[in-house]
Amino acid sequence: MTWRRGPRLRGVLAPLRNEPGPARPLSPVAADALIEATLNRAEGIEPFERPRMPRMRRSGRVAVLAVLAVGSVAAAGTKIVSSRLEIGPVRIVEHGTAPRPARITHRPIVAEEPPHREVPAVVAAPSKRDLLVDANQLRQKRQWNRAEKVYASIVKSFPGSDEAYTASIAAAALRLEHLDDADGALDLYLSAWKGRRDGPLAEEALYGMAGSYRALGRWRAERHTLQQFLKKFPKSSMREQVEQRIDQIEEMGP
Amino acid sequence: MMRSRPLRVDPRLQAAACGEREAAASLLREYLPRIRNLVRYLLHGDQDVDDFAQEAMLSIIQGLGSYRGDGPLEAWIDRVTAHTTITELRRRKNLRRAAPAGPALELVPEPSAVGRPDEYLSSRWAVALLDHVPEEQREALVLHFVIEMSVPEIAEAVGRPVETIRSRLRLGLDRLRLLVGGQP
Repeated sequence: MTWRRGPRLRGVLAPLRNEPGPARPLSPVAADALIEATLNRAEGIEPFERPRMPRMRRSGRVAVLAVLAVGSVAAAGTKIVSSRLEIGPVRIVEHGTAPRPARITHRPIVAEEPPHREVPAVVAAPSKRDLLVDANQLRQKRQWNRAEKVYASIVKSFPGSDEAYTASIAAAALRLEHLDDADGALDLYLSAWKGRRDGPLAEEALYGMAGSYRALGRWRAERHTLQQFLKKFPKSSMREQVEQRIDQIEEMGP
Repeated sequence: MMRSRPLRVDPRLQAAACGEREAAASLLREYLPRIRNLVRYLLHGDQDVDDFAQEAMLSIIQGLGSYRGDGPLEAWIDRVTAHTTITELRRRKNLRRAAPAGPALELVPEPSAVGRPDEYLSSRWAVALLDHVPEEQREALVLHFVIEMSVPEIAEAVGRPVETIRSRLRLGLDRLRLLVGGQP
């Protein structure tokens, strides 16, 4: 027996297509990173780091997706550089230390160049965009700890920049969702929110703050933050869910 | 509609099944949008699509040796993707703590990344409606209407009686019609 969807539902359950929709578009860089990570897992090169279940599902990943979008742009810039220079792998910067420079070496122009004449290495620091791309790729590979460290290094090394703002939201989301560090996430979300209340990721910052309070069991602070969210973003697509959550908190009593 | 590539015709399939990375990457690159679309049909919200898509791709690569080439490759990929996604959804559901799920933020896509904006927006509207359909009904609707599995096939795939699947389809369709704005 085959069920009929009827004329009203024909557009709702359409056949699959091999282009974006209903899944959101994925940049070529992000698609390649996803495929690479899959193949590495299939070959056992990188052990799969299964995500721990978060205390609640949060919108933080969306912030990370936004970072990916930025990363795509940054990657495009990187390609231009790569066509002229060989850039060594960007090292992962430990939290609290200055970013280590990538090693750049010029290609030898003449193949018969005498071996004793070594080409001096030109050292250049990775740009904040390169680091952002690197962090995004680590996140794609589910290397949450390493990704968070690179995001955190961007926040520390380039304070006040757009990249630091984006990285702080991404790092907060990783702390909350994967690293079981709601306190750390709250610090970053608070800082991002206070720094740019009208910033492009203000919605994510405020919603992330509420999620962090929730994970910490601070219901009053969560309710206050969600009320603030409704006031600040009355047309948010999350309005209904935020209102439901406020109702839930109020049903829990004082 | 993409053409199917029987195992004996497309050299990438055998190469990928033998572990050749480039061939596997080429196949995945071709089918990734389709895999992500099916995953999104089955998931509530956008945030986990790539996680689940990666699980599905892994199952596809590891299962290539079992594809006999007697049907369209995309149909086989659809079924592996659906099976993996549903299994993973159940696994995560069992692990999930009592707190209800939060919503997904809707980000506006880059216009240049979407080939046919009308169809894209239409499909986005569709999954926005499906996000309001209970999970089991949604699963039945997607398996039946999107990848065209029969009711007995769905029953076998999800381990539920045929009558249960029929009931889920009926309820799911009623729910969707209400959401669209008509009467059940």
